[in-house]
Amino acid sequence: MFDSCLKCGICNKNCYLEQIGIPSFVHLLVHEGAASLWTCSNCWTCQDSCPVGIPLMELKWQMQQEVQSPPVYTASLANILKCGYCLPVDPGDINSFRIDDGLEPLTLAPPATINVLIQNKRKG
Amino acid sequence: MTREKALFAGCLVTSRFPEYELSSKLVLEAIGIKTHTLPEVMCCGQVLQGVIPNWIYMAGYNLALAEQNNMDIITLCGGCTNTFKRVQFMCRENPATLKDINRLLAKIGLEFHNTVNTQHLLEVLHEHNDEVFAVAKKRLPVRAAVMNPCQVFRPVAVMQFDDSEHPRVMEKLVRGVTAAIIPYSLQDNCCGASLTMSNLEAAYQMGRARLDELKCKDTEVIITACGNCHLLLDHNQSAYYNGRKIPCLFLPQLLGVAMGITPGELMINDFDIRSLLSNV
Repeated sequence: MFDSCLKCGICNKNCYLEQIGIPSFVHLLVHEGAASLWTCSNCWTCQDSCPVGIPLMELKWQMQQEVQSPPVYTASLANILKCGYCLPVDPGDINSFRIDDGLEPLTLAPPATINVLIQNKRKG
Repeated sequence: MTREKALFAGCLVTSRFPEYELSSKLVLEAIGIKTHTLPEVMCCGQVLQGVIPNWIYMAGYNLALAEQNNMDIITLCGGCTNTFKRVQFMCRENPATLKDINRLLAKIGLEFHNTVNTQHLLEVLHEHNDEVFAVAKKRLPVRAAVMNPCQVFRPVAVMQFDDSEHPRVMEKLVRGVTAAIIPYSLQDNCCGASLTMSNLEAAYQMGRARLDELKCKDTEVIITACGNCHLLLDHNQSAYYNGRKIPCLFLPQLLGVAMGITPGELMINDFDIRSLLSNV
């Protein structure tokens, strides 16, 4: 997966987390030391600075999909299955406020639509 | 001429920051762009990228809905912008990806042609810079620092907006309506908010580093243009930062005040910010 990696450490050096002493997921690539695959701020600096163009972010997400997600991600998926949003959103609770504020009311995606989008297995 | 667009607020703004959605709508209206909340939109898919491969269908679904309504999309968060633009890029680069999305969308009677234009609010305001400053004539008496929404600029091959390493578009917009811009060393760095999902202490450490520097520079307000940045730097600030709060304001709230829209209409409820803006 990372066959073309030069082990140059540029991704590690440019990572904002690493710069303040927090081992990020790129730490794993360069140092093979203790760091979490999930410790990443999604800023894309590592991928943009890789001299051989390794799609680090896409590879990170593929690797994450193969392991157990942290609980917050599991909860996000559960919320999406319930209402389409990764945080709890109930039009019954917020639409009167939205209309008062001058915003259009919210309509959720139909449950059948959400199920089609999420439950059909896609090859990663 | 009125131009109608779909304002895609996304999960965080819809559930926690209606002031960002509303102030964006008002500011866009002030420059002649009418926006709509599309019925039945859902999460952009960003949060599920490391969880299931189906995240791409969610992005495709939202993009197809906008196409069906014949509207381009204006996004408010970096993550939604990044996700939509990358899926559109992937579909352009690899027709099999578009075919795969459409195979699934056909089950719900939709088709994605990849013709919709997705832009973050910043891009729209930059594109209409002259119209913005024709209306935003007031200069506000605040010393402001800019929090750039990093995912709007990177990866550079896809996003193609501003300088991806040293973005300056947002600073230019803020500079035009404030008394002073605070330059600081972490201005071009990511806020760290995504880490609140997986490593809270790391997120707080990144937030603390920024606030420490901004406090030393007598910053009065931090201007944000992403729900995630705002969540970490404002909403969660008291959880990791002691002392006097440095308040945050969404970019369209700042521009809205400069345009003469009242703080009440812009849902600026923070007492400190209202005090700062009281002599406008």
